[in-house]
Amino acid sequence: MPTIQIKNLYKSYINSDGEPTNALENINLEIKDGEFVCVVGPSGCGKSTLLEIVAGLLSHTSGEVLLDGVPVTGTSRDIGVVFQDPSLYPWRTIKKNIAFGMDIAKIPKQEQEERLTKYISLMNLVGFENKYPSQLSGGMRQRAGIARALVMNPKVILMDEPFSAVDHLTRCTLQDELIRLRQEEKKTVLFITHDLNEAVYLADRVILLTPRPGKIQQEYRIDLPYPRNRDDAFLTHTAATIMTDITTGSRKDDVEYYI
Amino acid sequence: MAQKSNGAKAKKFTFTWINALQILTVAALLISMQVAVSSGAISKVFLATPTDIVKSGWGLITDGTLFPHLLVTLKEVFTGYFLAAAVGIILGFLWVLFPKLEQYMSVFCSAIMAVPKTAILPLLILWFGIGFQSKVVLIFLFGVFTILYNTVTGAKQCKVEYMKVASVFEASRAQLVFKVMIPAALPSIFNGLRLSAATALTGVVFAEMQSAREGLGFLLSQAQNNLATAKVFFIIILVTLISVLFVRIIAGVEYIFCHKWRKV
Ligand SMILES: Nc1ncnc2c1ncn2[C@@H]1O[C@H](COP(=O)(O)OP(=O)(O)OP(=O)(O)O)[C@@H](O)[C@H]1O
Ligand SMILES: [Mg+2]
Repeated sequence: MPTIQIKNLYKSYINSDGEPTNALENINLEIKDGEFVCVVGPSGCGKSTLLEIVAGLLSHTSGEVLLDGVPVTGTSRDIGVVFQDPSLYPWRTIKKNIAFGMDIAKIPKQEQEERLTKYISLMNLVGFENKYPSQLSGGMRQRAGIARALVMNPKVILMDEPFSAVDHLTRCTLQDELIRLRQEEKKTVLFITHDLNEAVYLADRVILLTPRPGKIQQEYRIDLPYPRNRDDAFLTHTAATIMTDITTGSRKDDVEYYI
Repeated sequence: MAQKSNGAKAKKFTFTWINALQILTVAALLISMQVAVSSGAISKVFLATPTDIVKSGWGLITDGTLFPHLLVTLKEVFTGYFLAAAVGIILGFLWVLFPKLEQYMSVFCSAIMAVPKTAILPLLILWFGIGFQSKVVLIFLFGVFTILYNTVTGAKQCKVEYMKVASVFEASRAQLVFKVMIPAALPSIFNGLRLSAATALTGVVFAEMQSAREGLGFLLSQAQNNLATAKVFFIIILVTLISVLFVRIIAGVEYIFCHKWRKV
């Protein structure tokens, strides 16, 4: 059974003037256990909306979202979320930020310490435990945001453009760390990005959404073992194909929506 | 890796020619006051010499008049201020948690807030007498709305992302309030506390001047009636110092709570 099943999903927002905005239209998507799926698409096409619906943070208009066959009705401890802006709490130290979920779940201190030690070193944050977010670089903050999600050991990780705010080098490092982690921990990942090269480098499968209202325009399988080579001909070719599909797919629509 | 400095450390103070000029200005002012009054150019009724101000202040301290009055004023201020802080902060969070309560109450609060507090002093005196209680109520009214609205603004401004993180981890309502909303609102709450600390003393001194048998305001109006201008000056200076100190104390508490993670 796939971990995540999305069936005939529709989402429309009701604006303040009462007019509906259709954000997602007829999304059908199955994500297998342990699969890494990237969602790409023009700005405003509904990627974050999709992620928040799967996370249980947002209700949908019609259709179904199932996690292990059970409808998603709200947030769940089986799903970890990493936000674009890591949204660390500025009043908590890095360590306390990472421990936030465990505090909420009232996990005993002893176990908290063990898990913290593991993920702090996994995310290369040793030595920064007692710093505050304002004292860290953007890349470190993002790593702390990832650690905060992983430390709860969720089955599924949802990531909304987690690396878009960090510089290119840090981004590459974080991508490699994510691949390594995913190999070690066998997580199911739904990853949203603007960056096509990032998508093909990371994912088993890339889903391209159309401009708003987001529909699935195309799917691309990347059957390449990890670790991958960034310059791999197949990867660069696939990225170029996606780019072409985006431009041709949206030519009939508003040009503004290009990435 | 290089560590960023905290940014909270105060800049080292260096004495510049501007500081020297400032001191000279103050000295010139004091000396001209001294000369103008002692030479008779300005009547003692309108202005006092610095030496007379010090003398009358010393007199008030040594003859034991000052401290009982000072104590009365401080007690009134702290009681009223503490009540205002407690009610303002707690009510603020109740409003945020139960928006219906805010909908119901806010119109009444706005109405009471709009009334100039000093105008209802006669009523307060009628209801609570001219002693401790009426002053406490007045200071409470002076401060509570500022603290309330700052708390509400702070808690509402709690970033959507902060709330999302909390709900991803399935925080309960109580956890949301105590672990996210209160810390996120702290800067704004302290802003309200600082603003109302500055006005609290104004309120009480005014009330004591209008009608009281004790307190610094009473002492002030007594000195005024006796045309003891030096005394008037001394009490004004004292009240100003207390007010500044009070605001400093609140800022100090804020520093203790917040300096590690944000510039205060
Ligand atoms: N709360 C809301 N109310 C009304 N419309 C909304 C709301 N949130 C999002 N939308 C609209 O829904 C559409 C999809 O938004 P969404 O944030 O999911 O896009 P996105 O694909 O994540 O964009 P980006 O790549 O810029 O992050 C957008 O056109 C946006 O204007
Ligand atoms: Mg988005």
